[in-house]
Amino acid sequence: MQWGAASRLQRFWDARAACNFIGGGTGSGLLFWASIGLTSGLPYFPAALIGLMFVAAGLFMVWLEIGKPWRAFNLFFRPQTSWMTREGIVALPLFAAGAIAVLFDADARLALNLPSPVIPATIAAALCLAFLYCQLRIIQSSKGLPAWSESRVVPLLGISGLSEGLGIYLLVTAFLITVPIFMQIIALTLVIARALAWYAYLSALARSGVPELTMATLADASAVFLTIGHVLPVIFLVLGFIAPGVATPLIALAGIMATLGGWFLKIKLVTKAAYIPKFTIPAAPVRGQTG
Amino acid sequence: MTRYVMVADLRRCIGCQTCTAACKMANGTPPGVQWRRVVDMEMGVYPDVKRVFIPTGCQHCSEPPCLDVCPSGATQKREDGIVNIDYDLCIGCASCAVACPYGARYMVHEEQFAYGDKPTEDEKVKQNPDNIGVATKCNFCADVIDEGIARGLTPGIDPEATPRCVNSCISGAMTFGDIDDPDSNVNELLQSSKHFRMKEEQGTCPGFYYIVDEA
Repeated sequence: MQWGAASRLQRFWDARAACNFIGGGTGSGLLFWASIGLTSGLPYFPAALIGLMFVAAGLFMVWLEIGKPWRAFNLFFRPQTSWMTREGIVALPLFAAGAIAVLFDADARLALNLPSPVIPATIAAALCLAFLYCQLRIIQSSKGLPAWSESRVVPLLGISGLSEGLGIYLLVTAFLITVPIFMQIIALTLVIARALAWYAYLSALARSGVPELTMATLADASAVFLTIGHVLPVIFLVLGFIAPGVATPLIALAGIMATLGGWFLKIKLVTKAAYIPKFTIPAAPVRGQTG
Repeated sequence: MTRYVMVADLRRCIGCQTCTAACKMANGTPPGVQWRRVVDMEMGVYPDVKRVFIPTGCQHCSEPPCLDVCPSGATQKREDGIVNIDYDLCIGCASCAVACPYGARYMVHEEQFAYGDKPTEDEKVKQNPDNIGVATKCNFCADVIDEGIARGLTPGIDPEATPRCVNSCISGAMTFGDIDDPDSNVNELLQSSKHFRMKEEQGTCPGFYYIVDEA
């Protein structure tokens, strides 16, 4: 059926855009948790470096997506209102602070007598949260697509970004050190919080009368998302508590699953669930009166 | 102040798509790109069914969602209410396209022609290669309006200063004019009719009115 008389799947943003949100969410989450870990004496360097690479990869994917990549600098022209501009502005000091923190942390091996990485890592963590927030608002400001403009997409994808980042952090650190119990508890809490945010998001969408195809797509994705991203991580984390002897692979698996769940959600949300609603008119025209 | 708006009388529109053709001819838009389209809708439940034709396109909103999200400043709102795109600034990020509740924006990433892989004589003249990879949309024929005003003409009254879709409409369903002028053609129409604006609840304050009945 013709677009307008029926809803239409947006095709402006494809998997590359989804990868931007994946890279940005996972990378900023990972950097954030690496900074939290650093304050507790946990290793910073590998996780933070991977986090920066995720963010960079996400931005590279969006660079591939835009129609005029050699004009990308124009991205910075509207900070007054555009969350995409703000995302770009935040990214610059984020990379600087992150890179400095990584360098300072690596000094334990380089022996250059550089300062402690805690301050730049803390700044990078704050910028990560700002970067993640910009990404969430980019999605939410897409008024044409109810699946994205629903306000509860912000907590859902915010928690998901932090969950994905923590998932990779657990994967990386589980094989370096014994993951402290508080990190496992945070992971468990985040995964449960994301499931709750998912249900809140779905129920808000259902109340607001979004296109049927949006609801059907998300309903179809729900079982996979909840199983991969929530049920399995919870099982692995709980088993890790019960059996500390095999906790390392279990925690790593939980991390992978929590991350994959978030990635799956973003791919579905960006490429499959974003329908522009059809037109509706309040009354049919009364014909035969205008000559 | 001036705010140009479009009024479509749905009682008169017969879905002939002449406005669509006129727009495509004037702007040389590639296949699949219709800055002015006519949606063919069915209303009601059998056997009480009506067919409704709805001319649509960019609604030139007072609060355009596409404006705020544009990171490059390419999307601009003129003082006369026309929402325009500076194709030399646009980076083709499509933020505006996903922000538009009316699906009014288009993007093509490679040259496309109506017949095969070579442009027709008309396409050679009218297709603008600068429009590849950027967001495009209706601009209410701003070039025609500006030239007409410069010649002392009145948009919506004088055809030489009026958008081509309005000039081409065979049933007189489309009217263009300044809604801020209390004596304008569009105000006269709207005051004497029942009308609505599409997706108004989104707070976009569209500049496209649809007439459905007498007042």
